[in-house]
Amino acid sequence: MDRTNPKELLLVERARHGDSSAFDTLIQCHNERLWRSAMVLCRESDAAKDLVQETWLEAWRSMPRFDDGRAQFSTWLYSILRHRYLKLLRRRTRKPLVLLSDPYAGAMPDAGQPHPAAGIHKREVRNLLDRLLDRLPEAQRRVLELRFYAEASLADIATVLDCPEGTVKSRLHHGLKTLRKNSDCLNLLGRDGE
Amino acid sequence: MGEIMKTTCEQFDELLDLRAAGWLSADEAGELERHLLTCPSCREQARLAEHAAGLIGGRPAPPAPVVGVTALSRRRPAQLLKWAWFIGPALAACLVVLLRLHAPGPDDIYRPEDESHARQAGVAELAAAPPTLATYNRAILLHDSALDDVLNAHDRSIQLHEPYKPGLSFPDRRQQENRKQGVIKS
Repeated sequence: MDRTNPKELLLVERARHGDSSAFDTLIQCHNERLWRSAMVLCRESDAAKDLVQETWLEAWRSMPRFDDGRAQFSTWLYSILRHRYLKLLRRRTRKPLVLLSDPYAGAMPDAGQPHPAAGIHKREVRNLLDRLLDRLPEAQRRVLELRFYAEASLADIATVLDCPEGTVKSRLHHGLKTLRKNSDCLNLLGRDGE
Repeated sequence: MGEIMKTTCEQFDELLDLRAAGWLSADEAGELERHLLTCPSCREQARLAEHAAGLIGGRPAPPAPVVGVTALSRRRPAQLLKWAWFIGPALAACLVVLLRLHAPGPDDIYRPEDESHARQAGVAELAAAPPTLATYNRAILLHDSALDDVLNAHDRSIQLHEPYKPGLSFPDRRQQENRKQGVIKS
């Protein structure tokens, strides 16, 4: 759904006036993408679950103040997601969460270094994509995952990462270019990651 | 010619990735498609970009949490935990208030002189009662020296199987046994 979608416009208008069933429909439309975006940001399902619920709660409370002339509903939602994520980060500084992988593991190996695919057993192949992504700079990995995993729009990604859309495009290009350089790794992986 | 092609391919390099993301304008997309028709190398790179995008998008995701307005209106335990620091002091304050409300009033405070007055009244009552075994049993239960006082008031004495030991703590088991056996005599 986008701003030009009359059905979403109607739902937003009804939700602004306190129609909970209309808001429930909006939740159904956006929850999966929001959940995946939260997973990209948090990389931990419990924290992502809290983040999603807090985002929707904040959206429901702030719904009367939403101005659909200024932004799409999804972009407004992503701005709340970013706000709640920053609050989560502040809490995380007091009680650190366990990251599933190190997002700053470094860049992709140069041509002279051993290839990541070298010596990979079949059972490890499914983890290869995660390893490739983890070796990207965090900013590039997030853009790739927000776009292709969470299917967030350019404006939504720029909002949640708080950067210009040109920067988002640049990060996506550099991230994909790095992956393309590892074509044999990519070719090892099937469409479904096996 | 090769240098020109390389420059052209480099120009399209970013568009290949933006094409995979679906972020090309119509003009950019048309220009890129025309180039791809003539450049196998860029076609391969475009395929890799789309393949990588598909791999990232095809990764399994945990099931999304079920969210609804009804569920949102209920405060979650995690949110309540934010107030956990407040719960302890609040409970302590409530306990203090409850204890204060149930504290004994001026009439409930124990005063030794009150008990002394009660004892004297009890002795006087028993002294006025008939000199029966029941009267002396009541005197024994009243306090240690009440029996002596009542006996003196009645001008009587008691005879025990064993010598009477004044100062025994009350209730004295021996006195109770004597009372049961009826050895307290006028």
